[in-house]
Amino acid sequence: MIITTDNYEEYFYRYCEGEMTADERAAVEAFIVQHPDLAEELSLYDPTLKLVESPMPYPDKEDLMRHEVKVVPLWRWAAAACVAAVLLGGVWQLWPDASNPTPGTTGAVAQLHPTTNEIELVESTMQQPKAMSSQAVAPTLKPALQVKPAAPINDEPIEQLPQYEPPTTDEPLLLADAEPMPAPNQEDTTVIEYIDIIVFPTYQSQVEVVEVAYQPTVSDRFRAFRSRVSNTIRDYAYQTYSEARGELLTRINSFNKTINNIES
Amino acid sequence: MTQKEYNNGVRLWADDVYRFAVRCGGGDELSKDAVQEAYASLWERREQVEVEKGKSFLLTVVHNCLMSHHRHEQVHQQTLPLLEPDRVVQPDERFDLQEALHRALERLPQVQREAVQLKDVEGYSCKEIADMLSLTEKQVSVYLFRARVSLKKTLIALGYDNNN
Repeated sequence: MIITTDNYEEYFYRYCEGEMTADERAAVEAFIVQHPDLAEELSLYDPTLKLVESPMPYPDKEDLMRHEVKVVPLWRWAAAACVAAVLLGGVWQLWPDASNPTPGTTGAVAQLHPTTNEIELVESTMQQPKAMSSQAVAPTLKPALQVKPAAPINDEPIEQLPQYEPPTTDEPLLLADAEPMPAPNQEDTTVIEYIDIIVFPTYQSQVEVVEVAYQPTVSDRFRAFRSRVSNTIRDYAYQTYSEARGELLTRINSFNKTINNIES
Repeated sequence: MTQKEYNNGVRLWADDVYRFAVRCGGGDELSKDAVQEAYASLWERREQVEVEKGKSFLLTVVHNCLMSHHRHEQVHQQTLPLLEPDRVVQPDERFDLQEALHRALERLPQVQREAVQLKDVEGYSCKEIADMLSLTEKQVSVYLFRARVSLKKTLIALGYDNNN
């Protein structure tokens, strides 16, 4: 440690703050003897002279906070989308491959025909598989689902849209809410485990179906199904989320019972 | 740093960071801007910044804001004279020691002011201050030494010392 007139300040600081060893302190004291002009400076350093502050509140703390941007879906659209997806999912699941029909599946469908709307749809689908389109499906779906046509595009601001009934839960519509399901083991008769349809409001009351995720299998037939659903469900909507949810759960139970019957 | 920790950091640190900016010459508007910029920057880099380093990160951004503003405004560090020539403090207009100290502090060069604030008020070590102000530890020691000597000289000249 060599103290000079160029670097004495850092040593004076450590000296005054008591951050030095005995040897270092001796060196500083020897330096002061040689430079009495700097001794005064050292004596002016008062380590007890501390700045004390009082609080100074920042006025706009809330503006600094960050909150997750939560996309609030238009529930009636989402719910209707789910219902349509499940319904069409049932069609798709029970719809035997045209090139390789499954006798067991066909029999089960015939057996359940009078009881559910799904089966009705299946039957019509089986009769005219190549005519399957949004136009073909819509008339069959409409009475069963109590749907109404989408509102036309208009120029009213979004704030003036009707208030939708808020969901009773933030949970997505999962089939876990329905009856326990059998383990999937046949690709063509796999139960629907999970359907997640993400809808984004695009313009006013219009929605765009971005994705329909279906588990556990993602096959070509599923992709075809998804495409068909996307084209179809945007034309239907439920009045309320709870109404749609109740309807959906009924459909799910019914669908899973159908699957159980087929498997047994 | 999670979103929750970030928001907690707003509650815990915003006042101190704001005060640091005001005390170091930011003024009201510039200080608010600096605080906003600091938090925006923290939010952007929250995944890299640990919670323990959050406050020093904010103070560093504020320091950089103030420095760049002063550079931009061509405000050179012009130290005010220790004593205003026409200022003779009468006994009855004495303010208390802390107020005198704050007034004396305003006369220091900005970097010294920042160092004193960070040391005395925020309680950082010289090493931490050096990291925040992009200085060496030795430089921080020198600035702190000069600042305290200057403050003492000013107080004595104004008729104060800390035994008052």
